[in-house]
Amino acid sequence: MILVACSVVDEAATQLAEEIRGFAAASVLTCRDLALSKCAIRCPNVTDSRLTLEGRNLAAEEILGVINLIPAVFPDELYYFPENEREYQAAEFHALLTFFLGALPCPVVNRPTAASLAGPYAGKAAWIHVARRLKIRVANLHLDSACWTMTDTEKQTGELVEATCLHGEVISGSGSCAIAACRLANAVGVEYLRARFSKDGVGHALIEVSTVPDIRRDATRNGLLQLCRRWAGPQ
Amino acid sequence: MIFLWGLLQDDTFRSVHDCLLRRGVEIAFVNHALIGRTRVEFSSLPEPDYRLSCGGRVYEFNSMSAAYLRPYDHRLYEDEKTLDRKVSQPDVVHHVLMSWAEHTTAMIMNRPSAEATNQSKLYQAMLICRAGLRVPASLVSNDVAEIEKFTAEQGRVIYKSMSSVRSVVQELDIKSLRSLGAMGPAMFQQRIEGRNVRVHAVGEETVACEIESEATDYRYGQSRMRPLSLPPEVAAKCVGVTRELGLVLSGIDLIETKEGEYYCLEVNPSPAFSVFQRASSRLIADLVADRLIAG
Repeated sequence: MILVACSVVDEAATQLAEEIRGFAAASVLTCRDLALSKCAIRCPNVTDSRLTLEGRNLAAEEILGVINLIPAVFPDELYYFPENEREYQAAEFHALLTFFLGALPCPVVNRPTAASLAGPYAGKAAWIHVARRLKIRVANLHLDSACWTMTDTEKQTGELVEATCLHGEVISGSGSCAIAACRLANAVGVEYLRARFSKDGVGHALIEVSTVPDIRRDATRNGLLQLCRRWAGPQ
Repeated sequence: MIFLWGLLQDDTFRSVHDCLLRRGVEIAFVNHALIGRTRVEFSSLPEPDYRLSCGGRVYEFNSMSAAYLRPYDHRLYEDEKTLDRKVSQPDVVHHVLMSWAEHTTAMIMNRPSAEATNQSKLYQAMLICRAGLRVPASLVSNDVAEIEKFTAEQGRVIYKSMSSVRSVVQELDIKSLRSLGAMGPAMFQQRIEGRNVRVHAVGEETVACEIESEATDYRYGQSRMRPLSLPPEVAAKCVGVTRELGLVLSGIDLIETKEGEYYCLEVNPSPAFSVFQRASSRLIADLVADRLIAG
């Protein structure tokens, strides 16, 4: 079984699970499933855990891989809990998903860390540091707590270029940007990474990074489907 | 210069602050309660650079050799106008400062990614296991039959929050479970019976005390604390788990069973050690100050 961990309102994720079903058993996994259907998640032996997804009882050891599209658990999404409980429940589900997706022995794209459900870092400044360590050129960014309304990307005037890396391979973009995206992914140990660069007179400079797979892009969706085929093994 | 971010009303923070002042160390103390009037700037070029200004003073963060951070939930002292916003100015101050704390070469007590391990108790338990300490068996479930089965396997069972949101640990009354009706997934854990031991690890040093209490959660019951000498192999594992979690300072909750086995319940990455300091033979604040000065 291949899982697509997603928000309950993510229709693109439901569509992706449907496409995976063309060659392997697949299901979406949402906080609603964990809240309203029977589950039993065990620690330290996570492989002894059981979930109920789409009415089917699933053992954790049956999970072949997970595509994780949840950057964070938002209280508003937990509509089935009383309003005054949602913030607490969001912290609880965040904690549960961090452990469950972090501990599963199968591949997880991307595996959570303690710092973020979608990988190691959530903020822009963090990626600037990683890029500098790797000697990847960075854009001139200025973050100021006194005037946070305009994002740095909006201030960039040069041409914007993107590159995406999945499982060590370039799935979109080319040249130095693609190489830089793969180096960033490799340096922090994530399977999926999309980097945006601005182009100026000197060359490309990193602006920002995302580690939540953007499945609305064909390259990413196709790349993930190919990866899922590998997880599923020979037909 | 050593950066200190916290509240002087917090005994733990104050003890480190005062200790550093007594030693004549140059500190940059920023009152966390003034977060609404604190400005932080980050520039990526020519080198990543952070600057903080508060109360008419400006601090260049590249000049910091170490930092001790004990920030609070800033919503405690925000006005209503700020609370309405999705992203408030204090959120941004926190975010940018944590980015510095994560990536600076200065000695940070503790780095945000290491502190975050406590946001998921089970995730942290996985890392504790890797460091060679035993952890209690846990189950997260909303299925009464599974919870009953787990209770039958483990004997006595407690329940508590999975996240870092503080909860009072309570013993499960299995008979009342079926009367609760539908419930969300909750965390149940094997109750380890024995002696409560609290260990503070600061780098390679450990300070331990035992806690006598009849309460399931000694934080909410009457308790007596006494200094304790740990077996060297247990002290070494406490140093190891602190390192495994990426921490420099930790508060480790252990239980020693009658058979002499040690179970690790939790590692607190921002321990309020002032309570335990009174029962400890060495002043933890001194060890923290030593480590901060060493950089």
